[in-house]
Amino acid sequence: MQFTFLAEPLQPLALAAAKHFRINHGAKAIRAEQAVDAAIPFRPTLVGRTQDHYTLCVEVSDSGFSTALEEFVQKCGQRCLPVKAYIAAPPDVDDSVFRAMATRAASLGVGVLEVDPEISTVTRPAMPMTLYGFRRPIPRKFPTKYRQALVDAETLVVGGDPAKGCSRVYEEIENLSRAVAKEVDTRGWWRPLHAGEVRPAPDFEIGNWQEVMALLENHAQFKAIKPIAPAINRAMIAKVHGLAPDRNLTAHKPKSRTDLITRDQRLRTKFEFAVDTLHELILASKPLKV
Amino acid sequence: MIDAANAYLEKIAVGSITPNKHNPRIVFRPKEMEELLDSIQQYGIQVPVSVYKEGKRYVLIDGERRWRCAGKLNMRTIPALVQEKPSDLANMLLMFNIHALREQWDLLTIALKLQDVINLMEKDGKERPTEAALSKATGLGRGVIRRCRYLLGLPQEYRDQILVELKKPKAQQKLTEDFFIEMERALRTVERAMPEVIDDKDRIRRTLIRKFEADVIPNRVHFRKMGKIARAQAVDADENEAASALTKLFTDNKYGIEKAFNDSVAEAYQERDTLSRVHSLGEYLDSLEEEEIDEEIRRALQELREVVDRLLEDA
Repeated sequence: MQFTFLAEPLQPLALAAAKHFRINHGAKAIRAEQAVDAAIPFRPTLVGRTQDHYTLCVEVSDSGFSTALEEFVQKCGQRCLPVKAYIAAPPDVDDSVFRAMATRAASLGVGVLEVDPEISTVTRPAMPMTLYGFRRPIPRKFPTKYRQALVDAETLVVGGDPAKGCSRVYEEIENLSRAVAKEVDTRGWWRPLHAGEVRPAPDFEIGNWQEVMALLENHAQFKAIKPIAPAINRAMIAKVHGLAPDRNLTAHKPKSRTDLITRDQRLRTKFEFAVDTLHELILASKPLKV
Repeated sequence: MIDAANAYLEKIAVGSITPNKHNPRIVFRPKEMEELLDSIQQYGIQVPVSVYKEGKRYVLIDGERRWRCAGKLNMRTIPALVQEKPSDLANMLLMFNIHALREQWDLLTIALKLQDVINLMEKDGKERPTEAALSKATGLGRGVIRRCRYLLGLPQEYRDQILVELKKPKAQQKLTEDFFIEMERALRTVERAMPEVIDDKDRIRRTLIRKFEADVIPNRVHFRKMGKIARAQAVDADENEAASALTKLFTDNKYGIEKAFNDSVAEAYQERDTLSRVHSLGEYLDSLEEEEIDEEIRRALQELREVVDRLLEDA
C-alpha cells in the first residue's frame, strides 16, 4: 500500500487498521487514498468494501477531525452515499484529543477505531451515511418509562442497524396499543354488530398484533371513546395498524448498492415515522391511564 | 540553468505528476500538512506548482506539499508552471534556490542533499567545490553550509535519530539538529585543543546525549562552555584542571557542563571579562574631552574612583 499524504509515522497504523477490517469485518479491496466519489473532495486514508456492499472509509489521524474530513462526512451524507466512515486513532493519542474526536464522531455517525499494530478495537461502530442526518428521537419529550427504549433504538440506528432500531420502537408501540385494546374491551366500547357478524376475539396480550389492531380499527366505537380520549380515533388506530406488518422487520440482504441505498432510506423514514407514532399514541392514550 | 522564458502555465492532471527524487524535503509533519490541506480546501491552490516534462509524465520541481494535498482533496488537476527539463545538477540546485531560501527546511534534509550537490559539482568541475562556490550555487549562507557539515560528519545512527525526531511536532523535539550541531562544534573544539581527553568520541557522544536527555545538561547552549573549558590556555587557566574537568564530564553521568566550567575555568574567564571591560572603559574615558563631562558623569566618575580606591587599598 502506497500512501502519498499520510505521514510516515502513521503508516504502520493504517496497515494495522486495514488488517483489522479485513480480518474482523471481512472488508475487501482495501486501497490507500482512493476517491470515494468524483464529486467528493477528499480521499480517506483507506477505502474498501464491506461484505454488505458499503464503501468502507478509514481516516487515520492522531489529531482528530480536520475541516476536510468533516466536509467529507457531510458530503457523503448529503449525497446519501452507502459509506461507513471510521476515524482510526493510535492508543497513545492525547486524552483531550481523543475525547473531542469521539464526541465529534458520535454526532456525525462516524465510527472510531482504536488502532494498534497488535490489537485494534472498534470503540464505536459507524452509521451508514445513507442514514446521515436522520431525525434523532428526543427522549426527554417522552415519559420516563419509554426513554431507555428510545436511547437503545437510536444506538442501534447509529450503530448501523436501522432495522433493529425500528423494531425496538415498534415493540413499544405494540405494547401500548395492546393495552389500549384491552381497555376498550374492559369498558365495552365496541360498536353493535351487524346481523350475522361476529366480533373476533384475539388474545389482547399474546394474540397476533395485526388481528388486535384490525379488531380495534373495525369494531371500536370511537364515539364512545371520544369524550374520554378524543385523540384515539379511527385515523390514529389505522396509523398504528399500518405499522403492524413491519413489527418483526429484519433488514433483507441487499443485492446491490442501489438496493442498499433504497433499503436504508426506507428504514430511515420508517424509524422517524415510528418514533412520531409512538409519541402520538402516548399522548392520545394518556387519558385512558393504560 | 533553465530558460524561464520557455515556461508555460497549464492545468495538469494530479495523477500525472511524480515527486522529484532530489527533493531534499523528506519530512512532512502531519500538523503542517493538515494546516495546508485546510487552507487549500478553503482557498484552492493559489500558487502553481513547478514541474518539468519527462515522457508523458511531469516531475515536480516545486510544490510537493501542495501536490500531495491536491491528491488528498481529490482534485483532478493542479495549476502548474511547466519548465524545461534541467540537468541533474541544475535540478538539484533549483531545488535549493527555490525552497531553501523561501521556506524553513529542516537542516538535516538540506545537508543530505548538499552531499549530492558536492558530488555532482565535483564531477562537473573536476574539483571539490569550496564553501564559497557551494554557497553561490545553492544560495545557502556559508554559516548554513558549515552547520550542514557538522551534521554530515555525524555517524549514521545519529542522523537516523534526528530524522525520527524531525517527524515529531516541533514542540516535542528534544534531540534536535541544533543540539547535535552545538555538541559537535564543542567536541571539535575539544578535539583540537585537548585531543588527549578524547579517548572514544562515540562513547563521549553517547554520554553527552544521555546527560542531555536526563537534564544533567539542561540547555544545548551549555556546550559552548565545554568549548571554553578546552580553550583554557587562551585565558591562562590551569590546563590540567580543565582537562580533569572534561575527563570527568565525559565519564561521570551526574556531572554537568555548568559545574565543570565553574570547577575549572570560570574564574579565569571572569577575570578576562573584567579586564576587558576595565580596558574598554579606560579607553573610553581617555577619549573624553573636558567639556563632555557634565555634572552627572562627574558624579558617576567620583563614585567609581571611590570604589577603585577602596579596592586598591584592600588589595
